[in-house]
Amino acid sequence: MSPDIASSPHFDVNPAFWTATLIFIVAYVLIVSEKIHKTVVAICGAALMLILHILDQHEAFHAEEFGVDWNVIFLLIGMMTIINLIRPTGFFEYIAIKSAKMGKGEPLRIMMIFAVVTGVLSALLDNVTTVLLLAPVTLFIADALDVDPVPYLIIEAVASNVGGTATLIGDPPNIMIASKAKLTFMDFIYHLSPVVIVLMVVLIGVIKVVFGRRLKSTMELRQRVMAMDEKAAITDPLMLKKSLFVLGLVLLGFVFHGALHYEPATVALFGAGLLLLLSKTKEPHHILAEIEWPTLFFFIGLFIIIGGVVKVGLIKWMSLEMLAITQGNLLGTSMLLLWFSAIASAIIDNIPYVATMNPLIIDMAGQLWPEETGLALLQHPDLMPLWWSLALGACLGGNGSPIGASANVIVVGMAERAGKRISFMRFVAYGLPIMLLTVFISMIYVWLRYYYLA
Amino acid sequence: MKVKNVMSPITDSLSPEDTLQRAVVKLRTSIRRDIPGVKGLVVPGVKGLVVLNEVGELVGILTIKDVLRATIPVYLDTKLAKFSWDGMLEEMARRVACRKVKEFMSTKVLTVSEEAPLMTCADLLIQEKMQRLPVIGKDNKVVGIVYIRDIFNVISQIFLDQEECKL
Repeated sequence: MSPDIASSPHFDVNPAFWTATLIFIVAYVLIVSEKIHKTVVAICGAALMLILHILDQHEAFHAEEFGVDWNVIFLLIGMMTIINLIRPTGFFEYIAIKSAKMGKGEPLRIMMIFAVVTGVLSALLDNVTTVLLLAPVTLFIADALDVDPVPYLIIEAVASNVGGTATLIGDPPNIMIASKAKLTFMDFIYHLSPVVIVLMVVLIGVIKVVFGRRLKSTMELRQRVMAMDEKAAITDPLMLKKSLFVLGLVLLGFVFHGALHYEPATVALFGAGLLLLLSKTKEPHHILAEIEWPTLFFFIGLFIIIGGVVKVGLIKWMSLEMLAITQGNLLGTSMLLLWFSAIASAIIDNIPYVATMNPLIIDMAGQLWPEETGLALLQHPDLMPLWWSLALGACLGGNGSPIGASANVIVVGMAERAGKRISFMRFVAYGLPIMLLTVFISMIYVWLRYYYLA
Repeated sequence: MKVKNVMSPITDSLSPEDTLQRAVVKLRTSIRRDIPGVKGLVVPGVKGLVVLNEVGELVGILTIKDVLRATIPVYLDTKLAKFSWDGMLEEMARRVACRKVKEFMSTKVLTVSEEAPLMTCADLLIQEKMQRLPVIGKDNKVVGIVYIRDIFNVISQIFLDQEECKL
């Protein structure tokens, strides 16, 4: 035990401290080892925090500092409901086939267009949904063109992780960061979208260099793609119109939620309710059953586990250690956070990582600026680059390995079921260089924008 | 009557390591032996075969439906199937010809004991929407297959043995 802990005036190192720390560590190890499903681990860990009186139930369910972040949960529920209603209309198949035709059936062009489409869709929807909807069409188009679908799938996963970084709703780490730091949709557009656009351009360049000469197809095969009528994908034109209307409204709501003083979850729930109403469904349980409840319960359990270690002071101890390492140098902290987050997210799930880092950063801010509270503390001008570094690192780091992000796990799983196994190393061979390149560019961006030019 | 009285004895089986190419040869050439006591139809070619491992244990069943399913790519759903091109099925069939039986067989196989009463067997076939059930003997090995048609034959024989129904 470090003497810092014992001598720290802010908290006691008592049995509760060790109990909560143990639950936290065991939960992390079990989640990483995948021996038990992560949702089960999270729920059991949360239950232990409550049973052992580390947290009481009121704190776990209602306290902003220690409890479940319902803003995150309901934002996800709202968006998942909207997507579940749009999915059967054939909209995503329409976009994918239209894109392949825009690429004139040429394999390289299609890969570049798919990367852009995936990036844009991932920024507006969540990454898992995007790849889940695009991967089947990708496998289909690859078969039609008689090319290896594996590079396409990996590029799609990578593009979805890059694109998802751009907005508040694009990737779970951003949703969590936004909720904790009370950042708006437009804050993300203003601070992260510019660098993501640069990263997408670089990604397209990389695709061109790497695959430019390798992907070939014949006139006859191209004709297969060009003969497809994308309009046939639309199964319910009326519902599609309603869906696009509501989706447009929701995006508008996100753009103005800060100005109108609505939380993002309010906007998403409103959209979900409106689209359910317009769909005239008599059986909402089908649509609601398709919400990814295991993911949501993973979040709920995790928030309570993290709440427990925040309450006993483990997070405070970690933030003191981090301050001791960085000596309060914020540029150094920012760079360290960016790279550490990227590497950590390549190895472990970025959701538990960000859930741990959020309170840590807030605690650290409290140490640095003890006179500030509330929004003035959370959005202290010197703290802002740290939030952006965390978001960039956690989102882009996911590209480093096949287990780094949910989108990667989805494409690897889908490729395997289609009889095209993507080995760990094959993913790393594409993903890791792209991760290093994108994080490096982000580092330059953070340094230039927030330190050098500021 | 019990299941063992109406079942067809096993004449042919597959190994999980067989290729689909080998499997279809057996599916096309196997002949169901006529059932003693009841007159059935002898048709060349069967719609399904049991898959046994090296020690003769039942590990799955491969039907002609599974062969069709093998050619349909996993990513293809009803929405995408609309866009398939002429010759796609043939192309996919060529790709899977050398893949193994174990990849496409159904592994969740319901079975019935040879000592089971026919009503148990009929109920299982109907409730589980099965066409055939492997029959398990005393040593837990497959001893035969009972088909919907076998039970139908028993029932129809009873009908025909009665006096003709009055209209």
